[in-house]
Amino acid sequence: MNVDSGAAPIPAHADLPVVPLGDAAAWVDIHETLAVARESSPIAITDAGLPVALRYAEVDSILKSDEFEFGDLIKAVGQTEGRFYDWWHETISAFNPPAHTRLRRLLVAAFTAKRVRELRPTIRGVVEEALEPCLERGYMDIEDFAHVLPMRIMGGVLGVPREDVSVFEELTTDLASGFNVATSKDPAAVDRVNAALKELQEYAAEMVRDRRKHPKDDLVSTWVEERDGADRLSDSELVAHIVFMIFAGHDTTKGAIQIASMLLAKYPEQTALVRADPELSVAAVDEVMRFESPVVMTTRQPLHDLEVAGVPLAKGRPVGVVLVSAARDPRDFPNADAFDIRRTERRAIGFGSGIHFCLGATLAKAELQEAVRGLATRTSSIELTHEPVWYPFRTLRGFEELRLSLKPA
Amino acid sequence: MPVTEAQHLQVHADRERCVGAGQCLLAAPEIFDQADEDGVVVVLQPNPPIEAVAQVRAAVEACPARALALTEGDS
Repeated sequence: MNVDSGAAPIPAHADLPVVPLGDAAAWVDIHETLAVARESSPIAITDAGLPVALRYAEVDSILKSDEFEFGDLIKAVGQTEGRFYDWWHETISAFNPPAHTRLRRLLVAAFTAKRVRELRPTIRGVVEEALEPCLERGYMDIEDFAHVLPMRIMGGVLGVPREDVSVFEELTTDLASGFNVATSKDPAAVDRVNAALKELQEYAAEMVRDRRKHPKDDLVSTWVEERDGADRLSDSELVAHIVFMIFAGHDTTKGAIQIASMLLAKYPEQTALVRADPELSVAAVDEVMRFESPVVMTTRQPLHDLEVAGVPLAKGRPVGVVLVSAARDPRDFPNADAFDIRRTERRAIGFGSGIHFCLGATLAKAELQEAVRGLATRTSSIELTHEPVWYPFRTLRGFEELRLSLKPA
Repeated sequence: MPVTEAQHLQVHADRERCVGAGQCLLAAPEIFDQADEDGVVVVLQPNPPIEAVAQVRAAVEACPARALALTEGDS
């Protein structure tokens, strides 16, 4: 992501290796690009002037540190007001403890291991439904699988009828474009973002009203449920977070499923292991998330001037923590550049670390596990039809297109 | 990593730090659970058997909020 880090460069940063994330060539093999910098220095700087931590140790410690707070992603792309800005600043990411802790406690009920276990059959059903036509056809495009699963599953989780799910798809894409630097410079694009957000907020408000009157066994009902003497989310918080859920679980999961599908095709010996023992889908997903982390980086801001690995970092100025690089750190993962679902190191970083660790991680993992399990066990072979081409510049990684040929089991 | 001579394991969970990520129960399902209402960690076995040491260490490491600790002692 292109982050405007604002003020003049700090002199000490002139010695840091430069990671040219603004150059499309750097994204052809992002691991190689990052490894060159990572192996020479724990902290590097992008060509846009953003200091970045590249090694697992610093990435993990920055994310766990209470001397940093979550980066203001909206401000980072040049927006300081408006509907989109207001929405983001009402959601959990924008808060520090204790306000963050309160929201986290209230939201997490919908994502506990138990709740996700109850959702498994639904998730498995969505996977099978999406796989069937692909198996009949003998091939799968990402539109047929990776792009439909997250929204359908979120629809199931939220209790949204299938016909509304495709509308969400469009609205979420428009909303997500709000995080691009290019958008804030284009008033028409900003209008589109806000119009999408408004529609999502209205839909969410209607769901809240409905579940108050007719509670169901779904996420909104869980959040709306009154517990005697206990704190609850306000209506405004409910709406903001329903929209947040629809948004946050979408592109990330889409990318992760695309990536998992691609890796199953690229590494047939690994896929064979899952076919032989479907319980290995759990380990496989952990290794997918490590080997090709769907999120390139996130940012944090120091609460005061401080140093990491001897590099001065100024109060309030964004620092990138590059998950995709940390996940390939040879200091923490022997043979880091090998895709090996049986590796024993389970120090995941793909879902982040610290108090803002992905709220939906358990649900996301379940979706991925079912996708991997389904793909592996319903096929006897999965093959790439072309070399996958990664999207350049995207913080949420993925492919423009990907076709896999499938032979049914 | 070889198991130490420790005879007793004691698991400590800081419920204030916990953010309900649930990674501990994925790593050590016999030792940890999370409360339904707020996702906060529940320690099912505060003094687990020595055989559980690898799993508990994995849980401690997996906790994104640094809410868990393991004491291994002889007393």
